[in-house]
Amino acid sequence: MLTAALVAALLAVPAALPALPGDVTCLPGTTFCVVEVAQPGVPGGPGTGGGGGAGTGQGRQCVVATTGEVVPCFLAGWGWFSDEDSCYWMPVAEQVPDGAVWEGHYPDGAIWAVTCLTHAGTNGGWTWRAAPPPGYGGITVTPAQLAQRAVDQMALTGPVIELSIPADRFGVVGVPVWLWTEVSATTWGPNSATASVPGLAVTATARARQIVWDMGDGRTETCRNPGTAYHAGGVTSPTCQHIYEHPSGQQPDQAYPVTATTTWDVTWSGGGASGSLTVTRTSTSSVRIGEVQVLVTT
Amino acid sequence: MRNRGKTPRAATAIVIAAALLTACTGPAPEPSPTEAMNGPTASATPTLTPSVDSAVAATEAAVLEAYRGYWAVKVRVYADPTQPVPPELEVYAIDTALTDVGTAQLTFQSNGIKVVGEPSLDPRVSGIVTGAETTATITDCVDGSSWTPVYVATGKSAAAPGMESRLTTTSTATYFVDRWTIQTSTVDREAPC
Repeated sequence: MLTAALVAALLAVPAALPALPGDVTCLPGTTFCVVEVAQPGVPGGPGTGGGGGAGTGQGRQCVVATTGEVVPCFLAGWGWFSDEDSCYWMPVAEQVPDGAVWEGHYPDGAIWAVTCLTHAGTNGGWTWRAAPPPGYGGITVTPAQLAQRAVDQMALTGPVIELSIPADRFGVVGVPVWLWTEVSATTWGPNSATASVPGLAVTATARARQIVWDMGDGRTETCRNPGTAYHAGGVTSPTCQHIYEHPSGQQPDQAYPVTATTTWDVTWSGGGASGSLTVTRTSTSSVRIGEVQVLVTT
Repeated sequence: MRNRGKTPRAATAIVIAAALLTACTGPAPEPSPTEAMNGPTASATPTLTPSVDSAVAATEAAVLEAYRGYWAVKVRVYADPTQPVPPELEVYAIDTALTDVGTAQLTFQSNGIKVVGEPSLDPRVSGIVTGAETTATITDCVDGSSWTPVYVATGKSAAAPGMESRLTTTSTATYFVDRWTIQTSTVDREAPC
């Protein structure tokens, strides 16, 4: 270590505690010390990221506490990164009772091989541990992240757009167009789902708050309900409608594009935490509006 | 140095095994009843000493085999640190001797370094201890002058200049499960040899 420091000084490299390009690192079990280059962040090679969803899985990012260096969360042969000590942990294949490493605990817990980066500030080796370290198996996930997964499970959608003007007909300027959606668990709710990992479960419940209908003529209708299905002879919707002032003849395809966006309120709880979030889902359709006055016969 | 008063249990077992092996595989001349009765007591002193010596030698050979195997795997891993470690590593190494290889490999990976050539070894088993755990100590003067880290991209040396390349290395071996393994291996950078 002294020699390394000396060499670093001779090289006139500014000494700093974290690894910096130009730092001299003496690796255990070798006869040499190496001059480190710019940290590329993630070690390359096929040894990295194996095991499925490791490195970037579930949004986990693994960072060496002492240097800020971003490293893979899983390395084949060395196991999973632990935020506790910035070392990789893997259970030893041969869990045999002999050996002082057990510290008398056999057969409780397990012997782990701990592999530390040179800058982690700790040495590795074999050690006994009662339970896997935090982050082992990549199951480090927060209740909020699980809530998001629960939301995904619900498969919420935008409205199933229903209009009082059938797609093959023209509506009429000045006559209300009824707007509604088919009501189901995925289009209006309520909906509920539970996402879990070992030791943690989060249940989320979603309810639609409103649908904003962008009618394509520059105006929107906001309805805090799913709307009312049109019935023959109906004129004014009791809940949700739009009155066009101009025909759609000047529009592309001679139709107004209709975009309906449902806002969902989601509440969740689990793992001693709770919270809420908002998600939106959008559907599109179109409607044709003509100028000709039409007599409606009942 | 060897200590004949503290023959390891493993060595004793080897002596017995060797004796049994000889008895089973030899031409098997019929021992007379007298020889069979008197043999162990009468001829113990003159015949046992070379057997113990050979048993110790066998133990030392097994320890050195693990030691050389450990170095050979290390040289292979560092020659291409991007490859996964071969399973032999866990045959030859446990504990910090094992995880130190990972520490070095990860550093080589993140710096784009590989290590070419190989070191020269001159190991000696300097002590065997029996007890709750059977261990041995290996002292070596590792010559790393032909074992050089280089940057893969440029082929230029990654070695910090001005370092001694012949260094005293002290390792401990442990009899683990069914074999000798290296448990620790420390290169003393302050002890050129």
